[in-house]
Amino acid sequence: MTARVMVIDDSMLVRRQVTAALKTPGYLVSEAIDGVDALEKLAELADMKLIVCDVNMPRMNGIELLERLNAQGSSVPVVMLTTEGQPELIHRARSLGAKGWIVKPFKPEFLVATAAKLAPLGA
Amino acid sequence: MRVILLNDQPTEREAMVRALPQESHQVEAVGDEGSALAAIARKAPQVIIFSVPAKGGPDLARRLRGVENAADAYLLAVLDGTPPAKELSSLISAGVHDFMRRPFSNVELLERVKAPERLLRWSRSLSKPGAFDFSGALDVASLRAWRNLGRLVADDLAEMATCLVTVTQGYPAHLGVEAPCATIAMSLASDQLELRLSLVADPAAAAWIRQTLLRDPEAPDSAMHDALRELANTAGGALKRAALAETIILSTGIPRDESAARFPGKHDCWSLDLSPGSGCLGLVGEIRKHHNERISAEQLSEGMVLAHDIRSEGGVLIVAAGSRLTATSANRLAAMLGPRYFLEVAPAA
Amino acid sequence: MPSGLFDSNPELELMDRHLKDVALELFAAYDVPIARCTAPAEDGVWRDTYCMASIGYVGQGLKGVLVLAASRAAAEAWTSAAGGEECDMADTVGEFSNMLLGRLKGRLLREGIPISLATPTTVVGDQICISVAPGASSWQFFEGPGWRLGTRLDAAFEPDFKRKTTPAPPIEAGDALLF
Repeated sequence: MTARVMVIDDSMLVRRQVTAALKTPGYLVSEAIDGVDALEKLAELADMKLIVCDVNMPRMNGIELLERLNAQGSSVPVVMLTTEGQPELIHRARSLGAKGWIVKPFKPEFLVATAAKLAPLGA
Repeated sequence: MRVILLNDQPTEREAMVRALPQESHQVEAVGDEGSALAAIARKAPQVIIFSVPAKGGPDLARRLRGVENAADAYLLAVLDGTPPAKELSSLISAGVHDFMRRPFSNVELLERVKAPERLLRWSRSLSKPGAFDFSGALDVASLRAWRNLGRLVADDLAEMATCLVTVTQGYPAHLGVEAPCATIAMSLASDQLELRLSLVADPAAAAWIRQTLLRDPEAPDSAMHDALRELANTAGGALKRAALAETIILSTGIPRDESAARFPGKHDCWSLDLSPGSGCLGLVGEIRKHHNERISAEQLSEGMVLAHDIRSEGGVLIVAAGSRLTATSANRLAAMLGPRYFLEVAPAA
Repeated sequence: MPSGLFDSNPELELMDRHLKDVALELFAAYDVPIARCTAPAEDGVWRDTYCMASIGYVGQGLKGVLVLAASRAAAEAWTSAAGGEECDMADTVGEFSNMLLGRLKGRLLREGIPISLATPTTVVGDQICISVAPGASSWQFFEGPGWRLGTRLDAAFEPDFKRKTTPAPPIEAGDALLF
């Protein structure tokens, strides 16, 4: 039983850390380096169950990606993974349908618990 | 206030000297140009009052102003009647600040000399910005978030690395100019300031990054540099969130590689020692003036930070002040607003 | 200073501490080193005062005055340091009281005590003295090169006065919120 997750972050270290945290319980993790890259890959990958996305990225940031996904009618849950803590940003993401906000450096167990809640394996 | 008075009419000259209060004015009164030039050269005056001759007034003004000590002096010209506009204009071009026409009263003379006193007081206050702080400009160095930066960053790194990080003030002396370094810039567009945090790794820390964070002792340099950039990003996050508690909102850039050759310089520095044997990171904080630019929406590009809100005609907020533009948002705004819409931005870091 | 003054006025103690710091800072900015010193004899303050500036302030549940009592030597020295002439002395002492309270305001804001300032009033003369403050007040004395300065900080607190709590960071590293 598995589920596909995409991690979007311009930092390879963060992509590795998220992959390591989610591979252990059995998630299949795809990577993208920013919002533009993510949109291209999401168009080709079927059955994405969860997106874990940074906010500050080049070309297209996480909030802009949320706007695009909304415009496309995407139903994939999105959790922001970021160093930002500004309430206005958190409210904005929430109003755009984000399901969660995790502050870096993240605790792997929180990420796994979040994935389990939003994209349970075998569902 | 030192006043040089050049007037070839002895009676008027003496009357003017008597009219200026001795306790506040040190007046040196002379009857010819040569003596005036010598008096100026001896000690810089704040005010030069001179009688304009029938011919050559502007040239005289230029010669008086030409003495090095007179560069900042206030020139008050005394005229007969009302000369033609062209002559007045020539006197102004030659450096005259104000005029008095004969006959004049002592009261008028005093009032005319008071003007430079006010201007001088004001201009002196501007030359001591540290003392006369009318600007209300933010002093970032006094923020708790900045003063505690070493500890704040160390705590977040400890969280990330699940190890103890010890903080000491000062740049680690052993760090070489070639050491790997990553920088993140944060903008405070409203105050035209940019804050930069840099992390510099010694060889042991670089090895620790490979071993502990990347879990690959053989990881290539590119991966190690990527990880160091993420550590700089983490440092920026720690500062951002702490500054938020002091109602300061920083706009964050994308971390990038940097040269360590310019450190320590005149910066705030801390040494972050990773758990024993794991090396040391130098943390450098820079506060820079970063003057905003006024550009057309067409010129917007990635990395610029908006210095003010952009609202629709109906007043609806489109993009908030402090937003850092991506290529996506810059293109969108350019298309929406067009070339005739001008914005104030902090330039891309 | 009455003994136990600060026991019932922790906020006044806080304000006093910050006032000392900003006074040292302000004069340092003019390259004039000053240091705290002991209070003069009871009537010494007024005997020596040549120029006095007072500037009021108000906050939520709090009001008071900052008084600067400067000797003639102090007023002359500050005026000279600020590049003014003798006729500027009263202005200068007023400006210093303004700058001092302005800097104190910045510090108090971060302590959850926001205040607004009035404009200074300055008097010059011999044997100036002022009335006792209605609420709590605290004197501090400083000496500079050849001169002395006294500051009196008056503060009257309403019974329900409360410091605004400095908000903790809204979110910490490692926190996770699910919506």
